[in-house]
Amino acid sequence: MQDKELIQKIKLLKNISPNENWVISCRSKLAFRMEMERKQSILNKDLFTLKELFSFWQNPQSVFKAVYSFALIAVVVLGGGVLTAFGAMNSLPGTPLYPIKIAMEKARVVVSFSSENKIKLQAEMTDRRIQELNTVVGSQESLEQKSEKIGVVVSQLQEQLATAKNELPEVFNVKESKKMVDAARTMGEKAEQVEKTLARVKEILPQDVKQNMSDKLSAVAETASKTSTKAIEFMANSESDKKEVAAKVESRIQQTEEKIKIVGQKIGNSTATSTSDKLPITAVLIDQSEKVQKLVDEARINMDKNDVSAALETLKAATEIMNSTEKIADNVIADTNSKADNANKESAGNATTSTVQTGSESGEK
Amino acid sequence: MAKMEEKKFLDLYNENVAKIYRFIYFRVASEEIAQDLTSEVFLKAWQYINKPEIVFGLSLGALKQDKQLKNPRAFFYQIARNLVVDFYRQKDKAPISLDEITDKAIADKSESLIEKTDKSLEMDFIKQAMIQLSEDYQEVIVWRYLDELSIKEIAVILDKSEGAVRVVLSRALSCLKEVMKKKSIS
Repeated sequence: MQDKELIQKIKLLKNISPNENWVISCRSKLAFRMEMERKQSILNKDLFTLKELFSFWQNPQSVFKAVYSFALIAVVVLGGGVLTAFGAMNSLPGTPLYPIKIAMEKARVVVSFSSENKIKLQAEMTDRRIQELNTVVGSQESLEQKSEKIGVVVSQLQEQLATAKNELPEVFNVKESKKMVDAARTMGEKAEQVEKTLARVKEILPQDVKQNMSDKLSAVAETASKTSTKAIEFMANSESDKKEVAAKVESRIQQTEEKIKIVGQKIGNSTATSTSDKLPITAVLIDQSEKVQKLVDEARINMDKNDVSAALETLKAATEIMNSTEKIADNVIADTNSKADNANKESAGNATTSTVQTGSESGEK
Repeated sequence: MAKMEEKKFLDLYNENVAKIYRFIYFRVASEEIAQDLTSEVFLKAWQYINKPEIVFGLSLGALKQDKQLKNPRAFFYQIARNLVVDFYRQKDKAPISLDEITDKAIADKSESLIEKTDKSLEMDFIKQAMIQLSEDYQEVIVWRYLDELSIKEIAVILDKSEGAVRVVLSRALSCLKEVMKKKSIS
């Protein structure tokens, strides 16, 4: 027997693996222990706090002492882990338990052995991030706090969507189960939901916050779009219902067309307000948006010919061009706005100076 | 800063928990004991990183010098080895061989019954051959081919030179081949 063959046989023993639930619970216990140790070290530094906590020892009633001790131990030892885990699952960005929630979620993905489970978990996590995003946007916090928290959630979303996209197989394997197709479908839907939520967030945010986060939000929207397209591609290559796939492609075509309108409006705005030096750029933008429209029309023709993969490829190209067009349009608008702001400030400054001068002159008279 | 260290350690847990569990499981042949000892490995490792002075009874050999823990995986294996030895010492038991490992641990749910049976038979054959090897030979084979440790990493755990590890590994494979040949003839 060759060494290679022997090693292949040895590798069969790799199938021995720990129970997923145990791995998660063990990790949670470890994380909880670390947290408690950290808190204990902080507590040790503060003798006053420690004295306060154990002041019951000075109480002469031994019954009270015993009850208090038991309650304290029960809360810390028995309840702590569960409370931490429960608290973490409901935590929002900016709270101390939020990193634990994210770590617990990541641990679940790490210990999942099948790709479909990993994708399903990523879909669940994406759903949670969408809910968090909605909660943060709808909260009564200051804009600064909001934008910081939105930044945290959006970064998590970017990471999750990219991981899910990589996890989706490139080529459909006949052996792959129906579960994999279901997981891809769910992930695709969640990615689409992310795109819609981000568009809404962009509308709600004030101009200055939006401007600061523009790149980040656009990057996540792009990744979401790619993930969603890859999920549809996977479904198209699998034994999924052809009508369902066609409906999904049609929906993406419509979304792209809506985006063309939005970008068109932006180009219109930039043309109306920009100076003559920006006109060559706007001409390029108009040309690019026309190209996008042509590609979308081509995608429709491909769909009429039942060529789903060609339609998706054309849509991908259209989305790429449109995203770059939107970015340039945003930059032109931002540049024009900042120039207008500066001009306003300057004229306001000149007006104040002339008022002061007029005042001093009349005083002299 | 402390939080960063915790995060890094939890990432190390994610990367290594399955390997350490398997390593211990081969030695103790019990899911529960393997789980207990695996969690103990990570707790002891964390305690060592945090407060090396309170981790009593750990003979970490060459690793003890390496406070930066440049090779965490080797560090975990070293603790696991010591804990397994301690376990048998305390329980006054003889180490359990691979022979006692049940097939219930084979957890690939996606395969058909025939595939499972074929794989199970093949696994049983290799397992039977492995149990006839010495502990040293079993260990290097598991580390190199199941846990995919580099020769350098194995050398660190065993506190031997890389050349010595290569020799042991080569002898272990030859021995395993010989055993399998005899088994298939008989």
